[in-house]
Amino acid sequence: MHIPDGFLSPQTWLPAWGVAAAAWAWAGRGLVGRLDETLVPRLAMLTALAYALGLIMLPLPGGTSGHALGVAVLALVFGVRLAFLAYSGVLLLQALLFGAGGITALGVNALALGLVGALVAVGLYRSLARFNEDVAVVVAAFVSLQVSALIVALVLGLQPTIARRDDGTPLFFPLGPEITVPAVLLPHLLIGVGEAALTLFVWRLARRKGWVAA
Amino acid sequence: MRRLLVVWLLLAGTATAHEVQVNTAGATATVVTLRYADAQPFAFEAYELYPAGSETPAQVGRTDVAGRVVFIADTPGEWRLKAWSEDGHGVDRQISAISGELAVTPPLAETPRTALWLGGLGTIFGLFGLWQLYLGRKKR
Repeated sequence: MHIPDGFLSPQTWLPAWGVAAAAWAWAGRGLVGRLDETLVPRLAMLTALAYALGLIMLPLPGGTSGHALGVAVLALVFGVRLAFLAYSGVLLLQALLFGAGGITALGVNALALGLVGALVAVGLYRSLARFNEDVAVVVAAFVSLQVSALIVALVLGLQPTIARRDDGTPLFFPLGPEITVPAVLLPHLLIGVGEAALTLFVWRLARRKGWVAA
Repeated sequence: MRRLLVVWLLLAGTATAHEVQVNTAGATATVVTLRYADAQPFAFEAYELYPAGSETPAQVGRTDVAGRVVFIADTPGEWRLKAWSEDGHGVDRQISAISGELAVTPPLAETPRTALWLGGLGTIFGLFGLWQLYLGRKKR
């Protein structure tokens, strides 16, 4: 679901870079104090997991394929700010090494997947954990992925409205939201099930190891 | 009557202009193959091809079953290929179109993916390792 270069108009990616830069500054504030020697190896491991997950393509019905993100597990174990920073690094690496997602689109991708994904995951988990923690983790992971996917679909779908020639020809991504929303969301309903299962598995492991506060 | 015959013949002449004539000939084309990272072809997806410096596409269509875009570059050089799927995957990049020769875009050919994959993991662990070293030194 990473948006590649050339699909977004400058009217979209330039402000997104600005907002993302402010968000990175917010997330990085006091980082040195927050990262201790026990946290760094754990963060490294789950960041590597998110990086690897993003590159393992799962075949889906309809001839398409998709991949899990790993944002929810980062957020549930380390909180929104560290998850956002770590996942932004993952997106940068994937863009530079594989062309999976673009550099111009990095701001949008980081905000949609890294920041919103982490915020939704943590918010839902905190709201639901008092009823049942496992269910809270599953719902948080599943819904956070869907919300991120919806934002990506809407950003893509709005491009023909934002930037077009005088004759109406879209200058960048040419398809509207009536096509992009179902095209992005439907496969992610299936991916979300896998993401939720994986998040629960890793979260339980982290909990058992004492990485997550009880 | 003669006038009617002349008009009829003229109309018949214009009618032939609507006929689509087919001419088949062999030619060497530029072939660009698009596929996903897991080697699945980027099949039946929309694309537009722009000659160098042009904002008007010279060819539009859909990739074939193998994810190929096949075109004959009347003006060789750097062509721009935009290809996209409905779910937001795709490319927007320059293609080296060589007239009269078969050209396949090198960046989409065999990339040492495993090496890149390991390189990315190495970068992550390396950066966090440096951070850990920094924390250790700071503590001392």
